[in-house]
Amino acid sequence: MPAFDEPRLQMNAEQFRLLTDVLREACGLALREDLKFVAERRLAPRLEALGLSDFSAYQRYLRFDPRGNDELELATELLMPHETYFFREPAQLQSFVDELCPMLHRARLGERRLRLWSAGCSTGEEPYTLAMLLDESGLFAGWDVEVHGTDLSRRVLATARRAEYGSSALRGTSAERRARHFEPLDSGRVRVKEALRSRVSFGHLNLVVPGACDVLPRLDVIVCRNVLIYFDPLARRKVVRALYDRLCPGGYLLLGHSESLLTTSTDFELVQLEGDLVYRRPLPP
Amino acid sequence: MSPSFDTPLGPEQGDPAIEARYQRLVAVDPESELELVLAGLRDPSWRVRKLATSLLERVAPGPMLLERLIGLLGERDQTGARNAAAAVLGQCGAAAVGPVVNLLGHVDPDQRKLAADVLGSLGREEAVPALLGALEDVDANVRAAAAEALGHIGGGAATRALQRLVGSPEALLRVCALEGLVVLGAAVGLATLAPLVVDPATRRSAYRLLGQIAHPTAFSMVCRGLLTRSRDAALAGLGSREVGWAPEAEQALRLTLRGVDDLDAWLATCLSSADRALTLGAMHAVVAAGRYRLAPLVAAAADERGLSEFASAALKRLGLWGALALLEGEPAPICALSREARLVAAEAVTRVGEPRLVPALERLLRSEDSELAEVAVRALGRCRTAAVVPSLVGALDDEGLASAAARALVRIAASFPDEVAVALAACLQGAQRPHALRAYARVAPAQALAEVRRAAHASDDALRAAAAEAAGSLDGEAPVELLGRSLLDESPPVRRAAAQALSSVGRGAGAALLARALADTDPAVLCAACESAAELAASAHRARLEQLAGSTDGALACAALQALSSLGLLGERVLERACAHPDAEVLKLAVALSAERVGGIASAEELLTHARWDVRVAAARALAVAGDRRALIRLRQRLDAETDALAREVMLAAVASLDER
Repeated sequence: MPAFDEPRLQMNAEQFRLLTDVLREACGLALREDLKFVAERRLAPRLEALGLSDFSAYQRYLRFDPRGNDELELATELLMPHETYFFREPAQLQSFVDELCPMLHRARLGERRLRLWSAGCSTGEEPYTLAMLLDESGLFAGWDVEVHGTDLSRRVLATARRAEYGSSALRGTSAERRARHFEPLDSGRVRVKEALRSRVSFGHLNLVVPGACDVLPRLDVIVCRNVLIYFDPLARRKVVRALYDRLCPGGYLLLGHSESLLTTSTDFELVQLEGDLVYRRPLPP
Repeated sequence: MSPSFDTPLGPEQGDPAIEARYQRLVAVDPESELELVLAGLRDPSWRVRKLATSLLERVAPGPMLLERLIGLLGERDQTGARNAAAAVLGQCGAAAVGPVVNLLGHVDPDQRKLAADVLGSLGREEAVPALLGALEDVDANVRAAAAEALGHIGGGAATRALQRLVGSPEALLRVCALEGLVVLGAAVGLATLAPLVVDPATRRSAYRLLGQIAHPTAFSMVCRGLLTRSRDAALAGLGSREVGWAPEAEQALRLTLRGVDDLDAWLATCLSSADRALTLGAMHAVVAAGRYRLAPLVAAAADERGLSEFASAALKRLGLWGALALLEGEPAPICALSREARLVAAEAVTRVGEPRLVPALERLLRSEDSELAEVAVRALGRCRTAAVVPSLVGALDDEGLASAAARALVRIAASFPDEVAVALAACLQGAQRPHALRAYARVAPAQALAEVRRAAHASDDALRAAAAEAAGSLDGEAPVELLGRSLLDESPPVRRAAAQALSSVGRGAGAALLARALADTDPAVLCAACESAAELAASAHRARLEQLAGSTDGALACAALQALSSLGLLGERVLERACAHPDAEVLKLAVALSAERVGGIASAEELLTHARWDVRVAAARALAVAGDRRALIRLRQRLDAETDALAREVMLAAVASLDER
């Protein structure tokens, strides 16, 4: 127990396990054992808001109540907050601009069409960053370019669509980029410029639902950074297979810098770039 | 043990030959192609070695595999292979202990050291006697590895040996022993530790041990260290204790910290350190010294190192002034925090509940950051002043904030009912909003009837549902008529709200409407009706409730069973049927309800073999309460086959409980 905390609603081992079971069944997400206290703290306001007496009642609410699915999205968001900000992991993004973009440019020069997907886009910083980088590269001016962002939580998608951000989201953004890609708002916040907003679309998608990804077009690049870490091994394999299926032959999958497909998938080719390691769907023989 | 795969990226990864070897290994079945996998441990590529290691961890550790792995430990020119083999052996469990203990007698000191490392990774107490012997090894590295291993394993003998080693003339052994004792949380005499604090080699470990000792002298030794050039080590010592200090100790710490000139700058550096113990020590110090302005850095330290709980608790102790430090400024420091840190800071701000926070919270509410605006609403609801009412009423206009704002207003109304009622009435005179209506009915039931009636005629389903829910808060005859109409609504959420509200209109009127609610076709409406039936003590509806208890819908079956149980009308036949329900929640409820009935034990015994762990747990719990000698035998039999740790724990408790009887 921490040194100076107050007693609060406790979640026993069984309640925690039931909660993890619900999350796993619904979204393939694996809640780590050591997050029990975090879960207690973050979900306690939800119990208060819903007028529930304990975490068993909360678990039943998630399973049985007609509003259980909405609550599940909220619980997922609270328990597994997806840390994101503009231009996060700059070395990887630099490699995307310097190495992948020229390759994509050559590969798609005929059609002048490019499709990217940010899978698990949270509040939208990542797909907008991709659109900004494509814009900065200057390689795709006049092309038909679209970036799709999807997430399990409808709430974060509403924020993503508004495209308005504060200082936390901009902590990795230079002044020059702020001036180039954002317009200031009265409140001291900023909004992504219209030209970029129009290239990014958002949608609600549960990656583990079979066939859910089929509504997306064939993609040239999928960025799925720090998302697979939340899935249990079985769900991770399913999701990676779904990502593979959505990629064009020769299309790229980008994971977080500490993630790999080791023991998850053998479908992809590993491509060593100067500054990053990416996965590619092989071209037909 | 040194990690075998410490190079996540390297030039080798683009090499097609390596890729080919990797892909070949991916495809093999490790059980049937063991030689190929073992050869993978010798591969020059770390990726291939890592894959081979993970494959071998899936193979049962038979004598042949153990022999081959131990053989690899002896290949001095194959560092990668040795480390990989050691990593696999460290995962082999009890089977590996004997062969690895034998290796402690090898002539090569390198192999003896690796053996001690592996025994530490195995963490098996049966290795302790051999490791105690290795403490006398002629080679210093073997002795140190044995001491480290004992620290990983723990237990009485290992702890006593480490305590003795603290007095060793060898500095390396002293450090290994101290670090092991820190991990084990074991005690060492203060007289022993005093000289070790002076020695630069052992200082940090000694402070960490001192920090774990709940004794005033130990604490003052750490405090004195805070005033020396080794203050970081002493602060990490404070951070090695994860439970609270006594008030008098905290007072002593506060007085000590007054003597530190650059306190804020130093603590700020330590809060941002990558050293977990140092950061935690800094949190203790910030709290003791009341350095409120550092609250944003305390929140920022909440990250994946498991410090969120501590940051949260520290911010709570920093109270109002800490909260103000998080909120004041343009933009407020809370806006710049990472998401994890923000959640921790938000919790701290919310629970302060002080009127002096209101201006800062109102600024946060206007910040247009929806996440922080919700925090502001929740916090305003706890500020115990009527001054927050206009802001909260304004927040009702925002769909994302309306629910929290309505709850906050109801909370404020406990102290300022008139102010809240007047503001809500004014708000509802314009466009009606569901949350505002619900709050108004709860805060001012005598005045809300007209607004509720108006909402009941709205074209918006959500508003009609809110009217039905609000009707439950009203007094007199009017709600009955409103609820009756709502039960005929074409929208299920409206009927559900009405069915839920029935219990609050009293037995006579409510029971009359209950038949209609129980005849609904929507499962959610029926669930609500079951709950109301229980609260209205509506025994006359027994037959319908029994019928609903047989529903294939798990939620409905549970609600009906609960209602029948509350009414004292739960029959054997209904329970028997419920004990065969396909939904696990129904089974759990049924087995709990049937525990003390004739035949109930038999159902629980049967469910001990259910495929779901939680059903087996429920069955074991029921047997613990109501079981007999036969149940004890069944539980013991089942215990042998139980593989789920949590279910085993509950079954063991049930066995113990029945044994006692």
